[in-house]
Amino acid sequence: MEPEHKSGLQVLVIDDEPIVCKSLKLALGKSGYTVEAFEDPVLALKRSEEKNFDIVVTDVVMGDVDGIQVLDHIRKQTPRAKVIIMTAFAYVHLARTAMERGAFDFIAKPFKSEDIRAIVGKAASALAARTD
Amino acid sequence: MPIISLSSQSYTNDMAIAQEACSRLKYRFVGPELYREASERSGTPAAILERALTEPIRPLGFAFTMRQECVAHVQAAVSAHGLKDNVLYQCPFGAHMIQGVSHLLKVRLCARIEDRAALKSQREGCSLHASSAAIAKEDKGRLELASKLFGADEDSEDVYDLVLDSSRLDMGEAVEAIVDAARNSRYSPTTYSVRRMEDQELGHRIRAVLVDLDPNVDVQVESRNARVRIKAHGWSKKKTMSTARERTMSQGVEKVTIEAVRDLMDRAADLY
Repeated sequence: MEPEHKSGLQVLVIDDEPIVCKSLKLALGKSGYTVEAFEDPVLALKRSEEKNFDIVVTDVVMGDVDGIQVLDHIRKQTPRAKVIIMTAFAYVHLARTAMERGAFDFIAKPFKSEDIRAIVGKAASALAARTD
Repeated sequence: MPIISLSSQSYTNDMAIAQEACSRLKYRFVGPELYREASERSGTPAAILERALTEPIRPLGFAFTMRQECVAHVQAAVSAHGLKDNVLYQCPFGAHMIQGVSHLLKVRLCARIEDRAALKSQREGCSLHASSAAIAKEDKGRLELASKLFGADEDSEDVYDLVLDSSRLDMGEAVEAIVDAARNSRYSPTTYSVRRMEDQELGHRIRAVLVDLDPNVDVQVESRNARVRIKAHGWSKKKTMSTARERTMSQGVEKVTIEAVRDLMDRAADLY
């Protein structure tokens, strides 16, 4: 069951692969989130300075700016935001680094759209629990 | 919260530390019952399973293939506990039983041999000299067994996330270190690590039901799809692969690929 408190939540998706941005925007948009997707992490971070996102879903390996840097930036800027890390290069050290730096969750690619919807749903619930 | 694996040298007050850490964290302690659980799965007596993991390698001792089978069953039992929350398990080579799971916190307890010998001497009434000699021999045997069974250096600090020297720390300090580490967010479960644990548990269960066919059977599971590499050749190849497939499917996989590993004899036969 989809959480009722998800409507109105702003989600930022960052992945240098256009197909991933498109798929996640579609999957999360269908679940009632307002989603903005960026292939360029620099542009995404600039956007995050203009608008406070509630949930950020970011890839790790993206060229000049990696997902851990995105995580650090978002955590500093919007501490309450939940950051979900996704990567095709999942390994123990990276997962632990992400969690230690405050990631909400860490998921390995490939994954199904219901997986990411479930994780974003949990993030939404966690946000709702904090504001209650 | 993480799964905690506690590996310890003998006579390091490990049991007391483990149980106090569990009490503080509200964790379940899993220890010797692993042999009973593995015994129920495999039909091998618990005492045999325990000996397979503790008895040093000797020329006329345990057959190595038998040890490999026993380890597979104990590993499956350990992994089953890894699926549950808030558990601390302690068994020989515990740090090697579950691999590549970021929310597994691997703790090692060690101490100076003089202190361990003193504890052994006090408990068992033997001389310090005899205790030291026995402990040194036991340590050597354990290192050799870890190397043969897991290809690992049991004493290497690289294997562990937290190494505690109980010669330098009192029990309270050791417990506090474990509790602090367990509460560190770097060991928090993630979707990725939980899936890895589920795949490992399934992989170990599959290995346990195939290990009698080939003690070196290799099982890899990803997203409930299993890839099994098993020794199968000659007239029994078809039957072995069919049996392997059937047993693997019985463990609840979605898809299985069975590959026959060709051994040296097979490859040599090709030359002629």
